[in-house]
Amino acid sequence: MCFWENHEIMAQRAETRRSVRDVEIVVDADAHFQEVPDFFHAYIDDEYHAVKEFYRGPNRSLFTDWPLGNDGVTPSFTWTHQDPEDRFGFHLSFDACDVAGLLDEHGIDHGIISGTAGLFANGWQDERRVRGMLNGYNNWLADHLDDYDTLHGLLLISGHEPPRTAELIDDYAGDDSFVGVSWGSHCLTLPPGHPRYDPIYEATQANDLPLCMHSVSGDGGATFPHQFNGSHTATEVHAWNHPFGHWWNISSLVFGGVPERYPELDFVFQEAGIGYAPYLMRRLDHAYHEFGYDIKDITTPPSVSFERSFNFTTQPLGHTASNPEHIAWLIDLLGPDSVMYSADLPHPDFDTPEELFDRINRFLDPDEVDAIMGGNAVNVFGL
Amino acid sequence: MPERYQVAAASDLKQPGSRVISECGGVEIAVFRTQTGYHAVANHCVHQGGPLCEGGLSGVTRLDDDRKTLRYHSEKRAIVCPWHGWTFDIETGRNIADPDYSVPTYSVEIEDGMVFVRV
Repeated sequence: MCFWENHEIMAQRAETRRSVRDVEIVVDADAHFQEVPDFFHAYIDDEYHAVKEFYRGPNRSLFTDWPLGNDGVTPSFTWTHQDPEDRFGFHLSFDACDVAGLLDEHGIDHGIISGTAGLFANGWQDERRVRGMLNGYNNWLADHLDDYDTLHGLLLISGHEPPRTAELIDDYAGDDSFVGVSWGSHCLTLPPGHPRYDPIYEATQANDLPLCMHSVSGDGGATFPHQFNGSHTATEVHAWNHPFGHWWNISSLVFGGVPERYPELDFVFQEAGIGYAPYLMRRLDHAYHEFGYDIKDITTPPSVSFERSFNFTTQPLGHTASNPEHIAWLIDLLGPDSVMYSADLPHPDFDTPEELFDRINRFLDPDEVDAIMGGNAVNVFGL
Repeated sequence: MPERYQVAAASDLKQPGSRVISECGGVEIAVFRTQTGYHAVANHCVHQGGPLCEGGLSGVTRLDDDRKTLRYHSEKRAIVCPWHGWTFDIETGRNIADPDYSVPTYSVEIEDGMVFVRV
């Protein structure tokens, strides 16, 4: 029985589960701290003394360190700037206490924690400052998470110096605070399928951690997908930048043979939702079969990598009101085992658990709904 | 006939831009004071259920009919949901960007220095 014939039966089964509160466990697979240097400059080792002193200054913000800034584009999420006590947005810092409170407020049991500004590190020109920032941020994160059973950290890395990054992963992997590796995946000077990044994949796989690739937007940068000349508003840039960045990265990873070379490595693609993924998967499969003469590094269709190695977080779900069933269709196309609920708290384009659950509960098997809302994240991150 | 609920003293809403949020028959409702009077709106965003009326009260930027001039209308009658920024006219309840979406509005009565809402 196919999905379309089966979903009426599933809807009947789902009638006994009417609330997201009935789900076994809800995990935000893409939550954030919003780090400012005040949080972590004291955690920077003396090896990076100059960087430590740089960040000791008052009102330092990692955002002001972006290479080209955001000049000329309208500010984003402006409604969050109206009230100095507003709890959402980009203008305030968020630490563990803040984020744990927000997750609890929205009925989310666990959060997988990335940074915010640090995700832009690939675009920084100065590798030395990147090293110091990563050192201080990761030290601070490990210490800061100790008191929170519901928050689980991702080790922040950049793409500047893959061998050094591999050492960083080896050094921190034994710390229980970290359940994965977080790579702000935009602004790479070479795409992630390039062999120069193999030390990162090798170390991440060897330490049995998933690799989370998180798209970013609004930054200036010299390389696609961050070049947004001619896009005049933050709204426009934000809309295309996230999924297009992942398109490029996933295409590069697949045709670069990374999932085949590192078959035990789980990837998690964050912040761009799931709508783009099924089409990309089919498009890459089409290319694989049509351009066989050009395929050098892989031996199976790209959809095999999607099924075995790739996971996608759901935020942003997009405008779901027109036909909620379409979200279930997308998940069915991609495979329920590959989808993880994410809220993106505390960022102002977050999705509540109900926004996903209420859309899919009638159309998917209850076990699949449980897996999407939290079970898949529990498995991949080893919670 | 809708039931009438007392929500505040008129003296609590003297200043344009001021607001009170009260529960009326199980529904959270905000009453705003503007230059044009009093306006009651449900404190529930139709997008994802956010506390709509806890957001900022704003003017609106619109393109003139000639589609050349981008003009800021400073009259503060647009309530901006603090969760995701969906914005509604507090007089009509209509969403500013897409009038297909709206939030409930309620009639407001002033009597003996008290503010009442009919639900």
